[in-house]
Amino acid sequence: MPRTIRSLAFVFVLLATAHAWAAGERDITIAQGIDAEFLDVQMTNNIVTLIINTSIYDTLLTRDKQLQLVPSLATSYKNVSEKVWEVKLRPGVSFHNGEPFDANAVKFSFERIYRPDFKSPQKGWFNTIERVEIVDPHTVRFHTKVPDPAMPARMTLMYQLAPKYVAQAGDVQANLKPVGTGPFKFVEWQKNERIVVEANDAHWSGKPAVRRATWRPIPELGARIAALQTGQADLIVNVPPDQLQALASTRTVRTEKTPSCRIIYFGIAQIKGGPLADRRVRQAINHAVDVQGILDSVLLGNGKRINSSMPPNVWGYDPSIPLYEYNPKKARELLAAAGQTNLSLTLQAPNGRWAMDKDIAQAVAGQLTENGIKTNVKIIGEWGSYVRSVLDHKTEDIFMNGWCLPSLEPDHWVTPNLQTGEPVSQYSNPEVDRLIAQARAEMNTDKRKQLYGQLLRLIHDDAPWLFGYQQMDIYGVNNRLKWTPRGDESIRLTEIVF
Amino acid sequence: MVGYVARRLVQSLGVLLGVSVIVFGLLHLTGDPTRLLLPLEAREEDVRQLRALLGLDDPLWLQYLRFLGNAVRGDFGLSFKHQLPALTLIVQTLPATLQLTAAGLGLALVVAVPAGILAALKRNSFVDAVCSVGVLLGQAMPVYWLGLLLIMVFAVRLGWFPAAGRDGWTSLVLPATALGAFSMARIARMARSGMLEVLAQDYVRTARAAGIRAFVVTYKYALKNAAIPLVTIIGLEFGILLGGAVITETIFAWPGVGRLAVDAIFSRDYPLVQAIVAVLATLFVVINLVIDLVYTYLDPRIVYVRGGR
Repeated sequence: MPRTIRSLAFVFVLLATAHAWAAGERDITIAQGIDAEFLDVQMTNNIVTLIINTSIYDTLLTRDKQLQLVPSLATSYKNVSEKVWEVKLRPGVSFHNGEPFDANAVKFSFERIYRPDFKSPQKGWFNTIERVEIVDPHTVRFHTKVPDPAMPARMTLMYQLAPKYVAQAGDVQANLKPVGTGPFKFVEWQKNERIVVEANDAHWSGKPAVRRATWRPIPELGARIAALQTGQADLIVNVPPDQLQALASTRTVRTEKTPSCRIIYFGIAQIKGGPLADRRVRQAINHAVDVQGILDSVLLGNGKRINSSMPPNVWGYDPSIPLYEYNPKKARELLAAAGQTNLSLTLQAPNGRWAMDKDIAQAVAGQLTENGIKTNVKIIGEWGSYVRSVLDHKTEDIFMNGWCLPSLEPDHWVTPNLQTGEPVSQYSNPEVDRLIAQARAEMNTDKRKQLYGQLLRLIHDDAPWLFGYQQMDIYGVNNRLKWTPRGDESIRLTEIVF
Repeated sequence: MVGYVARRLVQSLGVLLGVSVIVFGLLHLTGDPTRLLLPLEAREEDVRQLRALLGLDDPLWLQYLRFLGNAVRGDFGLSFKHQLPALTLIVQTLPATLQLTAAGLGLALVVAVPAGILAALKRNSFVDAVCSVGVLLGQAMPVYWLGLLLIMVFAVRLGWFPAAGRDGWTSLVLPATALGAFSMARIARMARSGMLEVLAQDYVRTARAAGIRAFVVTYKYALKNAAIPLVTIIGLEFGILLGGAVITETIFAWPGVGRLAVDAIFSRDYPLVQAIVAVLATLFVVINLVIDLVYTYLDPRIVYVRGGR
């Protein structure tokens, strides 16, 4: 009898599995706020677009769930000299159209970005690379203009395209019908409606559990949540904290969250001069705001304070740097010492760019005002105008900003935001510039880590920002999916099982 | 008649030209799009290079003439953001918008015209009151709010229709209802007042006195005459709905030209915005011309002759 039961159970499991495969139960739908801008991955720097493209294209290196560098199309890499990186390529890999992946593809993919008539926004990602040399079909060498310890991080962004296919089809077709080596093959793209990909069972990492995935752009939050609740979507992004309760009432779904690589900070426009050029005033601003209190009340605890200008997901982060203490008395003392007891500032913030951004900005301004720094809030709802004020270095006294780059390279957190004259930086400090340049060129990882520790401490003390928080990425997930989110805002279809 | 149509077409060209100048000027006033096309950390050199590639370094008048020269040949240029011909993107998305607009207007007509007539026939009755309240609600409810309400009730609670997207006719019901609600109210109001006016006319009384059946009097004599202002409003309504589709398309993730337009405006995608405005303006002008021609069928007394009507 037990044997019969076991046999029956076996048959049942087998049938259930077969049913699951046959009925498309391993098909999933992911709803994000926007559609992909391009499926020609070299035409975009937009994170949502890159997430979708990552299912179709492989990069030379990639990051695992713990965000550590791991091999992908490159199996190993080493420094032959300070300015030469030798990379061994994975043999036996083919593009979805059957074209072999080799050193020629690596050279082609790199050179395409710098083609003068090619409008790739990725040109800045690889501008330290001088040329690519083919050593043999499965070995390439990257020659850099300067010693560049960030090369491995850059390799996580080197998406590989099929040279013959792109040459034959042209740039427009390569965008509309993308061909990569990735774990999923392109099926269909209906603009603003859906992008469909199907499992590439010949992928070098094995067969993905998901058989078919549909990416749907649903811009309106209410509709996105409804799509999850009704089973129309299996995974949705950007769930705001105030909706967690609503989702908890639906039995078939759950929420998943993780601290993001994205930090939200309030830049202080030191380069404007005046009171903001005084470090004591900037420190006073940091002591005058109860960031934790704001996180708890506005974001319902969904955020983690930062001690300097990097989140813990980025390896240069130094946990030993303390957080600024909320101390209104100290803030007033610092202001008095700086002779700024009657300070009046304006804080600019966008509306709808980051979770509850406007509300947080208003709370920050409220506390500053309460603690002796009269602060007005200026909301600039249109993102284009907001960006322009930052890039033209014409921000108000304090400006809210969010930052995460897919490279997860420490230099990409400090250089654009804090080096003198950089587009986003509203700050100038020769000592900070010197340390940034030194760390950027240091080839010894331990020494480099030390330099970042030193740099982040200096930034903490000099307070060019009101240090904000690490954003919490919140997703809504159908319970049939076994999946937990990553800290780099990416969704890897290969990490989804049932 | 042919002369009238030709004259109207020439006038329409003037309208379209004016629209193109205004849109071109306004767009360029909003600022440089290259900043938005490149990453925040991009260097000034990359910005300069891209600006030159997009032809934004040329004087404004030259850029406009180039745009106009290409546009008359049906070439609106490459969308900055999508790097695809702007017209191709519109051709891909316009059917969805037309489908939604037609469904919204169709639904509005099917509900509003009979309701308006009924309200007129049963003036000051309970039916009239119900219709008036419906009109009030339809006009007072913002599309945004109504859309979310419909999703909550009919998609989440009842599970009758999908919450978002464009998958078959079921997905059309909620967005068409949300979009059509406002027009429904306006058309019903117009149908009621139009009918009331016509029903008070002498020829209707005469027809009734002659013993013609009430049904024939109402639907053959009265309705046809009440239809003239109704047709005017329907033509305008179609244009308003095309514009109103922007919000509805965003709420219901409907892949139409409205959403494309909003994205294009926010990313300062000059060629795409110009192309969308040109296509929608043409559509609006053509629809209104067709409406004017429909008048002659509804009321043979209206004749278009040289020098005026």
